Formats: sequence, C-alpha cells, structure tokens
Amino acid sequence: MFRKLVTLVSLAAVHGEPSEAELMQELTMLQQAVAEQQRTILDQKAELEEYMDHSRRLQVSVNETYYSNTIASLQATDYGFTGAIDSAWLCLCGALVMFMHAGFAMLETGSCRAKNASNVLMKNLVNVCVGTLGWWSLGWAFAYGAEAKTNGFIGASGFFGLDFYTQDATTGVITPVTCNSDGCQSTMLSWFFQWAFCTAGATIVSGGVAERVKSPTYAAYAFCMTTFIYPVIVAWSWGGGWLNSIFDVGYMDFAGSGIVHLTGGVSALAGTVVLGPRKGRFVNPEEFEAHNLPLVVLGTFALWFGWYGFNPGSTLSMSSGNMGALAAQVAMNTTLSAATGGIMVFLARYAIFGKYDVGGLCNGILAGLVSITAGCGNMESGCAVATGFVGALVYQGSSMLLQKLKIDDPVDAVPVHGFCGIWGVLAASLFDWGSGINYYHGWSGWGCMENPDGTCRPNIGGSAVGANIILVLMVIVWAGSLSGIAFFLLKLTGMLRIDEDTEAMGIDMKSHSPPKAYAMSTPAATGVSASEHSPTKAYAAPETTV
Amino acid sequence: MKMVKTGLALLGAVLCAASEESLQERVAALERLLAQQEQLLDQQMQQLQSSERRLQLDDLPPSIHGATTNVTRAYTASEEVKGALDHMWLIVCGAMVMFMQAGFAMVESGCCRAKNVQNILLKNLSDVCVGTIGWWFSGWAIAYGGPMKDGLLENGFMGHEQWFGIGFVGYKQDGQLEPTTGMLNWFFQWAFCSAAATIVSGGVAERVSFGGYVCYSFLMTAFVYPVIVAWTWGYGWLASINSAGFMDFAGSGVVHMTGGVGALVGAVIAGPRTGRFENPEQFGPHSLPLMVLGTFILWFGWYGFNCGSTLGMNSISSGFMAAQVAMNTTIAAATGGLVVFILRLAMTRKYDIGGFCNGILAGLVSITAPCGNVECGSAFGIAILGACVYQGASSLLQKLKVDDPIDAFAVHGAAGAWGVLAAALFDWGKDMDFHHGWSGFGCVAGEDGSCVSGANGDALAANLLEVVMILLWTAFWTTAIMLPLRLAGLLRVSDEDQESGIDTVKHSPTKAYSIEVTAADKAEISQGTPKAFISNPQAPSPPMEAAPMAPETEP
Repeated sequence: MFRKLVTLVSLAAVHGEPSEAELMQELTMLQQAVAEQQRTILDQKAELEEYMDHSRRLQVSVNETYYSNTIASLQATDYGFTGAIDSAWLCLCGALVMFMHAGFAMLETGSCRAKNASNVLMKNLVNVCVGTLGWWSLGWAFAYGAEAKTNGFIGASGFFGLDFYTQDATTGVITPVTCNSDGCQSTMLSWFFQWAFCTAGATIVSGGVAERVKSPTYAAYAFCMTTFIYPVIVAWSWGGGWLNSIFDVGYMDFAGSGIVHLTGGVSALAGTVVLGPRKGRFVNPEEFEAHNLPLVVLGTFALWFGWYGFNPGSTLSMSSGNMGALAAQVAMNTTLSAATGGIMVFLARYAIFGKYDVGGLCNGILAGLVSITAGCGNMESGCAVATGFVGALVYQGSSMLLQKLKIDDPVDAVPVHGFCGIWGVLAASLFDWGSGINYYHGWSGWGCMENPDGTCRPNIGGSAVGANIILVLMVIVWAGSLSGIAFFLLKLTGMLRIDEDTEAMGIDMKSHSPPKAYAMSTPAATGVSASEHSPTKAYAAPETTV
Repeated sequence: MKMVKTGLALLGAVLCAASEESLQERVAALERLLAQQEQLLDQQMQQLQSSERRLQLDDLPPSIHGATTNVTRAYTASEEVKGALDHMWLIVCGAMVMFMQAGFAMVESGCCRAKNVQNILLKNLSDVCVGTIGWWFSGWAIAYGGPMKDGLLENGFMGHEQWFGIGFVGYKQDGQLEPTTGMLNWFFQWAFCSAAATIVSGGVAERVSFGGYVCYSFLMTAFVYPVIVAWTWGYGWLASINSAGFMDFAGSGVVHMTGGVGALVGAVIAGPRTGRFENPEQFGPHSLPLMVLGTFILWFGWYGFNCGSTLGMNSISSGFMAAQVAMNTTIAAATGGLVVFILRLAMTRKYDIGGFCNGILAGLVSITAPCGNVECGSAFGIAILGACVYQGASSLLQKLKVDDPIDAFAVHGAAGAWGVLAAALFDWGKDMDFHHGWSGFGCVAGEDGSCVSGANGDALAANLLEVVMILLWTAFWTTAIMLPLRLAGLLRVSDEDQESGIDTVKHSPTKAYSIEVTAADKAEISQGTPKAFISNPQAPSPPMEAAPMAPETEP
C-alpha cells in the first residue's frame, strides 16, 4: 500500500515540473502516509511485546522464591504421578511374574508321574520360599549393589534389605525413595520385581532334576542359585556391570532370555547330567508320560499369562507414553511368538510321529515365549513371528538331541529355557529394527544408539551380535560350571539322589504325608456327593482301553 | 527499536525544517523515511510470525523424539502420564482376558469325558495360537484397519489397511521409529478375538475332528468375527445407524453371541456325540474341580474383559466408569450363579455344581453389554433374567436333541443376545426417553448439547438389529465353512473313534491321566497294602465298588 503510494508520488514527480500547490498536496499525502505507518508500527510493537518474554512480565509481580517454589511443587506432583504409575505397574507385573510359579508348578507336576506329584509340588514351593530368603539375604546385594557399576563384576551393598531407605538421624523420618532427573522409584519396588525373576530362574532348574533329586539337597542348591550364581550374572548385565560396555555397544537382553532362562536352563542341564536319568527312563519310556495333561495345559496358560508381567514389565517404568508404547509392542511380540512357537512344534511333531501331542504344543508355546524374551523390545511383529518359528525348531531339535544323548530332562527344561534362551539372545541382536544391520536400537527402544552429537552410530550391528554372543558364552560358562560343581559336590556327599527303593515306590509314598497326591477313590456311594449332588461324583475316571 | 527512534528523529527534522529548504528535498526525505519504516515493518512482521509459531506448537503432532524438527513437538507432561496410564491399564486387562483362555480350557475339559480330555485341551491351545495368527494376518485389518472418515469407518462394512500389523510403527529417517497406539489396541482386541473363537470349541467338543476345527478357527478370527467388529466397535454402520447407535459395552453381542451362535450352528452341523441322547448318564463331567477352577479363572478374567473395555484410564471419569462396571459385573455373576443353582435344585432336588458354574457365566455374559450404562439394581435384574434365559435355552436344546456339551450356546449365545437387549432396556437414561449408552454418565446429546428425546427407542432398535445381524452373519458363515467340511467327511470323528476316545486314537500319549496303578502295584494292593493312589476304583482292593465306573480292560 505504501509502496503503491510512493510509486504514485514519484510518477507525479517525473510527469513534469510540479506546481507548488501540487507539491504541497503531495507533501500532505506523504505526511499522512508516514503517520499512518507509524501507528501501524506502534500497534505491531505492542503485539510483539505481548508475545515476547513472558518471564519478564512474571518477574514484575512474582519474586524468585515464589517462582522456584512453584517449580518445585509442580515437579513434586509430576514425580508423584510418575512414581505412582511406576509402582502400580511394577507391583502388578511383579505379581504376574510371581504367578508364573503356579504355572511352573502345574506344568511340572502334570508332566511327572502321579507317584511323585506331591514331591514335585513341594520342590516348587520350597524353591520359591528358599529363593526369597536367598534373594533377600545376599542375592539382591550381589546383583544390584552399587559397586557392580564400578567394579563391573559384583555388587556388595544392600544385604538383608538394609539401606533401602534413608532415615533422618534426629527426627527418625524415613524417605523410602530416591529421586533423580527421571523421577523417583523405591528400592523395595525394584527388589520385589527382580525377586520374581530370580526365583523364576531357580524354578527352571527344579523341572530338570524332578522325580529323583532329594528335596533338602535341592533346597540347598536353590539357595546357592538365588544367592550367588544368578545374582552375579545379573550384576554383569542388568546391574550395570562389564557386559554393558562390551565392544562399545553392550549386550541386549530385554527381559532375560539369557540372563534368566539360559541361566536356569544351563543349570538344569548340569543338574540332570550329574544326577543321571530316572531309573528305567530309557528302558520303558512309555511309563514316563505326563500323568495329568489338564494340569500341563493350565500351567502353560498360567505361564503365558505371567509372561505379560515378565516381558512388558521389563520396561521397568511406566511413566511416559514412550514406555507405554514400548510395553505394548512387547506384549504384541510376545503374543505372536508364543502362538507361532506352539503351532510349529505341534506341526513338527505331527509330521514326525503322526500323533497329536498336547505336551509338545505346550512346550512349543513356552519355546516361543523364551525366544522372544530378549528381543521383544527391539523388533517388529513380523520378526517376532520369525523368532518364534525358529525357536520352535531349536526346541524340537534340541529336545530330540537330548533324547538321543540319553539325558533325562523330565519337563524339557533344557531345550525350552536353555537352547531357546540362546536363540532368543541371538535373535535380539539379529532382528533388531535398526535400518539394515548398520544402525542398532538395542536398549534405546524407538531411537537408534547415538553418537554424542545425536546422530545414529553407524556400523555397530555386528558388534551388537558379538556382544550378545559373549553374553551367551559367559552365562553358559558361569552358570554351567558353578551349578555343575555344586551338584557334583552334593553328589559326592551322597545326598543328591534318592535311593532306588524310593524311586521305584514313589517319593510321595516314602516321604510324604499324606502319602499320595490324589485320593479320588473314595467310593462315591458313601459321600455327601452321592446323596445330594448331580452328578454323583466329582471325578469320572478315564476309561482306559490300553 | 533503534530504527524507530531514528525514524522519529528524521521525521522531526523534516517537520521542523525551515521553509527555505525546497519542497523537493522534503518530499525526498519523506520518501526515504517511508522506505525505512517499511523495512522496519517487515522485520517486526517476521518476529511476530516466529513468536506465533512458537505458541502454536501445540497444534503440531507430538513425537517421542521431541521437537527434533519444525513438524513435531515433544509430548507434554500430562500427555505422558495419560499415555502411560492407558497403556498400563490395557496391557494388564488384556493379559487378564488372555488368562480367560485357561478358564475356558479348564471348564471345557472338566465338563467332558476323561477319554477326550487331551483333544479338548488341544483344541483350546490351538485356537489361541491359530487365532493369534489369524488376527495378525487379516483380523485386525478388517476390524480396525480403516481407512476412517470423520471418525467412522469409510465404507461402513470392513477395513482393509494395516494387514500383518504393518503401519503400527512409523519409520523416520536415521532409524528412528515413531510408535502409535496400534500395538496396544491390537493386543487388547486380540484377547477378545481369541475368546470369541474359543467359545465355539466348547459347542463342538468331543466329536469334531481337529483339522476341520482349526480351519474354522482360523477363518473365524481372520474374517467372520472381525467383520462384526468392524460394523460395531470399528465405527461401521451399526455405530452410526440412528441417533443413538448400538450399545454393546464389552461384547455380549460382538464377542459372546458371535461365539455362541457359531457354537450352536457347529453343534447342529457336527451332530450329537454318539450315544448322547441314548445314554445321557455317561456324558457327565469328568472333573468338577477343573470346572470350578475354570469358572473362577473366567470370573477373574472378566474384570479385564469388562473393566478394560473403558479402553483407557486417564481421567477420573474413566475411573468411575470402570468401578461401576466392576460392581455390576460382580453382582451379575453372583446372582446368575445362585438363580440357576436354585432353579435346578427346584427341578431335580439335587445340588448341581456344573449348573452353578454355568449360571455364573450366564450372569457375566448378560452384564457384559450393559455393564457401562445401567445401575447396580438393574445388574441384579438383568442377571436374574439372564439366568432364566440360560436355563430355558439349555432345556430347549436338550429337547431339540442338539448336543452342546458345555452349554456354549445357552451361556454365550442366548444370554449374550439377552445382554445386548438389556443394554438398551435397562439404560439409566431418564425414563425410556433419553439414552446414555456410550456417553457413560452423561446422556446422548444433540447438536445443542441437550439430551436427545427418543434416543432410547433408537438404541433399542439398533441393538435389536445388532442381535439379528450377528445371528445372520455368524450362522451363515459357520454353515458355509462347516457344512462343506461335514459333507467332505472332515468335520466329524468316526463313531468307532468316539467310542474308544479321541485321545487313544489320535494322541500321544494316549491318555490325559495316568494316575492308575501299575500291574505290580495291583499285586501289592491285593495283598492288603494299598500303596499309591488309585484313580480307578475298579482295581481289586476296595470292597465297595459302588461308583458306576467304566470297566478297565487289561491289555
């Protein structure tokens, strides 16, 4: 508009010698234009002031103390929220993982013979209880004591749950949480969640040695496992130890294919090799079938259910949408891998034996779950299906291998947790969703591992695979050798294995009271059931047509 | 600022200039001033624009990577907290719904005969696994894949994007990923989809052949069920049909009736189990503890099913809603169980635990649709009627000689249809005029914000239509899938195999339980020292052999 005016004026000026009146008129016009423009400038300046520098305006009415108090209270509210959500998340997920013990107990009991059912149940119960004390007394301190971050090998603080909170010396007021820039979490919360993982790792072993190990001896081993063998591996990895910086990239094991399952699986292998097979296992294999398949299936579903605490809970926090999306991805991947694993093992066995094998389907589901446990947080859904697919083949292959080697693993703990655990750790680095094998996501979740300047670090996919191989090797060496030594020493004392007499009779009959796990033979005609119920009995026995 | 001052000074100079200066010079000076001011205006305009852009950041799409470029912004603190709460809620609830699979497996296997237990368990395991793959392949894409238009499914019938979970995560340059809520909803809805498929397995149990059933299960989760979801929860045509649209909070119709109708049609096509109506006493449940365990697991999982169907937990109103749902669910379950138990006691003068269990389930199914828009007294009434609907449907099927081993149709189909109707009939909108439906504690409101009059009638009509459409669609496709299989001889296990038990013929190991005594043990027992547990009382030792057990045949 102004430019137009100027042009008009200059045109008039060029047109010819202007008269004074014309010039005066022009001058007035220009002055009006300038005045108008100045008004616009002032308006615009006022508008700009509105936008600029809110803080300066705040400072007019608010002093610095008030300002910082406001910030502090806002941050406290935020910490309150995020801390509460984290706690709710980890308490629920920890409880889900704890419920996996019910799954392990049902699965192992159902897979064993009826005459040892009580004993297997007891081993699982003892395992959780002893493991809890082990984790409380020493395990947590070795695994997560702050020293693990500096010496890289083992922690040494927090024994018996000491120093989990700070207490003011004069007032006695307790502060249960520690806060950093990410928020506040209680050490007790972390203890509880990790306890569930620790006892799960130990329970895996109980399946491998079932039906022939002496119960007190197994309890002693479970104590070693939860106080030292497993915690040291955690210290190296999740606890911040040396595996985090290996090859400059570090290992990636999101929820513990290697750290939990492989540790348990290798130890189970050591135990079952030292113990030797159950009497007659490879002579009359048909006598060693699962005695109660509904329990096996119930256990499998309970484990699958608990796995949604195991894997999604391993985000370890739930205070941002970012973590939420990661947990959702983990849940989806876990589902897909479990389903694929189950179908594949079922099909493989059907192709090999021409019979439907429910137990195989159950173990296939577990193989899929173990395989995805390490990589569930850094791969997309298609890769999860592939992981479950390969995991199923790994399981079936290793299961047949053990049979061939005449290693007696009653519940296939070694193939499911050991071999699939190895595959899971490798899959986590192979299927990482970094573009190509060039960039690597790993622990960074949705973003890539970055250089200090924020760009993606190139050419680290190979190092990541290497780091995970080291993790696998170290777990095998550490857990395998220590468990082997522990079982071997126990064997030398003659305390490891039940005597042949007991084995033939059944441990329940020999050592348990009541002497059997099932007492369903009460004649129905005499019970309350018969007179008042329809149907007249709770169990209708199988019609066996052998 | 400096420019303004200079400008003012110049202007002053010009205005104060004496008349001896020629007018031309004054004109030239003014022109220069104009040009300078124009420059100043441009500068200020730029500053203004950038300030405005900073204030408008809230309109940009958020990114977990923060404001890395000008096209995204970081999530705000409240968005972070809300997102985290939603994810936690749905993952935990989804896991609980998944655990209902264990409940279904226990109820069904406990309810059937011991000789087929493995086969029942196999069916339950495989329909979860196959269903997962079906839902991943195409189920999600059809049900929720979109494309959407104005918040509704564009073609109203079925979606056709996001096959195989593709598109859940956005790929950016540099290997950075931008997640969506796709995975969360996929997971939560997966649990519902596989529940619907599992319901069918109960109706056809003990005589359906495994291969045929797996085919059906895949098609159910990959196509039949997802289309129904697309019409309803996927914002298809039933959601926008009239002023209120359908109301099925957690799926009495969408999930349970779909499964129940599938079970009924399957049971009819597969035909009754051999001997079912000749020797009914042989078809009692083989293990009541498993049935009760399964019922309790289902009841437990139902709190994920119903409460989780708030689909979020980021505000106090969704908290209130979930609590209302939990309370209604509890009341209905307890009422349904008691009513069926009392009905059967009156009819047979016997305690019937299986009936009690199914009554609990019937109450739960009945309240699944209306749990979010009725008050607790209505939940009590809905469950009483639901229990009667269940008992009626169960007796009717027996009379018609349709063999539904676990009453899947009576529980899920009949009570499901009743639940959908109840959701409109018992809606807590004022009188029969206003309607709450999906609006929760508020009413369905018109453009002006006032409650729509006559919405409750519309809702009833829409829900009636939902029932009819689910019935037609599911029955049609179940027939279309199962009838050819039956005609080809692939659906039903032969009579001989049924007689000896599917476990024996097809499975390895050949039986689900091996709790019976071995030959050596028997010798010991006969000497008067019973050694281990005996599950088969026909073993020689106990003198009283009153239980009508099937005779064991020695090998």
